[in-house]
Amino acid sequence: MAAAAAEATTDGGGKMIILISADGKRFEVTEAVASQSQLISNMIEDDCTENGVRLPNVDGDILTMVVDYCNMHAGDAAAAGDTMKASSTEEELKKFDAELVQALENPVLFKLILAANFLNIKSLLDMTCQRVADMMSGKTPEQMRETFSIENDFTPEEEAAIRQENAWAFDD
Amino acid sequence: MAPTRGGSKRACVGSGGGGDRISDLPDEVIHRVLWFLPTHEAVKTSLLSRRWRELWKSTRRLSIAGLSRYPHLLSTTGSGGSSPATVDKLSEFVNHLLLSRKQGSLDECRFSFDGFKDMDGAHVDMWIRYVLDNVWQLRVLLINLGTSIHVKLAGTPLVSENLLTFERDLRWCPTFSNLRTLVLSDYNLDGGFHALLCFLQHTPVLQKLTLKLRKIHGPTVDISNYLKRPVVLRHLRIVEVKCPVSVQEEIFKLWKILITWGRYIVQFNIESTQYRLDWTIKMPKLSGRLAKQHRSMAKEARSTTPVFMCCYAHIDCSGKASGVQRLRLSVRGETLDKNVLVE
Repeated sequence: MAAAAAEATTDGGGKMIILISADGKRFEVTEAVASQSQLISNMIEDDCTENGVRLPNVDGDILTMVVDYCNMHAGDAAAAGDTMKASSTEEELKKFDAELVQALENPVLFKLILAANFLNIKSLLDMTCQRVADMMSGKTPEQMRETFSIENDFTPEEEAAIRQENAWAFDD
Repeated sequence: MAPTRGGSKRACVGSGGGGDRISDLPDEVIHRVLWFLPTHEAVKTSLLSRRWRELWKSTRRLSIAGLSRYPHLLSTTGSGGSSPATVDKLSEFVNHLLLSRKQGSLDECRFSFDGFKDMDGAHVDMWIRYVLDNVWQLRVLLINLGTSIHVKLAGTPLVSENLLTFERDLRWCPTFSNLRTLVLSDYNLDGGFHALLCFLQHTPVLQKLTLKLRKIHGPTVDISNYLKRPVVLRHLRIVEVKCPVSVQEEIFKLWKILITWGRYIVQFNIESTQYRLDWTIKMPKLSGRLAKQHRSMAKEARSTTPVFMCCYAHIDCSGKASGVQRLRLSVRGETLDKNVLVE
């Protein structure tokens, strides 16, 4: 990450912004990279990024992934990043994205989703939510519960009532 | 971060992953997850736990599509989903789905009945009306009835205030009683004007129509009937047509119909990809009463300078250009302004 940040500094284009994670890790990124986050983009507009942007609910290791993602995708978001990511083709991006979400354990995936939601990075949020949907698709409710460690807190009567209420949509 | 509802439980059931973290996600995030699930699978999540019971009812997307592959709806037939029994099941499914949902706004609503051959248009019409009447806000509505008909409309901020794009041919349509702006992109006139005019009859308060036309190859159409029995588009003020030069003759006809139907049009722009059309437009003659109405309506629309703009065409202004006070004519990029006598 440090290497990526240093490289970005020398690129001489946009202003740099410091992102500070919950555990105090600092990430230096260009405005173009950071402004993929609607939250930060708004802060840039309001001129309140001078002393770094503190992200008290994003851990350093999650923010590392987010910054990696934003660095990778800076090219398609803003033409301002023209010198940086002209080389990452669409296929490379797809491969990068797929590898990013495929490898994640559930808890990390959910942390990444929360970070994407908090930072308001729509493409990352969609990609991670799609991953969760893919993990649910084709499964029975029991299998879904197992996959995500969801506790069934229904009484048998309640469950029967829902089955009846939504019978129009359930396989018999 | 938004607080989660029903987040009181912290079950640690599974191993390794540690706890039910997915249920701790905020509602809006779970809705996004459900967005990506086929509707019948999203309904299944109601059985997961109390937290999930109602979540599927307020997702921002309502998708009634791809259901011909849904085994539950196919169970009574092996013939690929065309028997009436299947359509009945589908109707039951959609009725329940629509009535179960909570009131709210939608980002996207999709109707697609591929694979259902005997769909009852009245049912579909009712469903779409139901959505348009009951959803507070709808951004995009996609309708695909079989293979030949595909409508996509988007509204902001009111239900179907603006129709963004509209693809392929349309022979069936519901009434869009709130639609004020209609943009038909990549519109194909091959089937004549019928579908378009049929659509216009169902948009009673339409104010602006934009047509982006593709080349046509079909036979020329007789428009005398349309001119004899005009449907008054009382609110239509602005028409914009973008077309390749090859459709010039049809554009002329369309223009004739629209200026007859849309008596209160104050601005009519035609833009062609080539600079010259070699036909002559004669302004249609409106009666004095209509011309007067036109002017008063134009005033109402706060447009005191009605403009007729036709790029790249020879225009014969010898005819009376009723209600059109100013003519702007562009030839080879040069703009000539010409005042036209008003009857």
